Amino acid sequence: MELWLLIAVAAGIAAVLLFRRLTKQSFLAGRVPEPLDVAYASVKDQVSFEVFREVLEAIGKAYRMDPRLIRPTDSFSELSKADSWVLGKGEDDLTAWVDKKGLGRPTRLQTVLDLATWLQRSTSPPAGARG
Amino acid sequence: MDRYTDFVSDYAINVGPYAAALAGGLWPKSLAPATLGRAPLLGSTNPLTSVPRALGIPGADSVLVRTGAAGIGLATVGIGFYDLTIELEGFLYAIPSQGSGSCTQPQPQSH
Repeated sequence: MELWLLIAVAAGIAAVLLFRRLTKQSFLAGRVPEPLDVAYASVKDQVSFEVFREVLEAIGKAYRMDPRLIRPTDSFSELSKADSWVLGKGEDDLTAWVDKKGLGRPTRLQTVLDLATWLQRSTSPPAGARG
Repeated sequence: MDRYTDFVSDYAINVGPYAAALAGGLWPKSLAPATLGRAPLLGSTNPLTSVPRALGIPGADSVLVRTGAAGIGLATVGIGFYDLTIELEGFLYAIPSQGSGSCTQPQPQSH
């Protein structure tokens, strides 16, 4: 009986590893690495390049993917699907990164650009605040 | 009844004390004491975390623990469904004159 249990757990872990690979491949399918300054061109009116790069690098590190494969329009629900087989490790790491900044918690974010614009607003003083 | 219990005990996977492995399995995020049931921050729809992480055990954040927890969770569902099919199949097996273990009436020999 113990053998059956071992087989079941081993099969479960193998299935988790396989599905994790497939969902990540599905998310990244058809994407080619794009320099960050090229990806930035479409959002340059909404966020500074420094903040944009910081956010993409943090997301890349959290979700274990090349930041050049992430697009500003990518939604966190898509990212969390690619991340679901490790029980949301990427989201947890990104949440820890946000908490470490000490800027409070944003309201529910939809896209990568939403996170960048929230960070931009939170770190920059409001317009007219400087003398 | 005996036929049913015999069939189920012969074929079902009885995890017995190994059910303790569930302590390394899955836990709803909304009931996790370590995060005070805090809702997902970034739009995640995944409602599950690992038991060690839910309880705030150090080192539970690693990919290894998470993969193991997901594997145990998947295996639990698999074993549960297997046992469910055995329990349902047991009813069919226990019906008199049904199932592979039923006895056939002896036929009178004609000469």
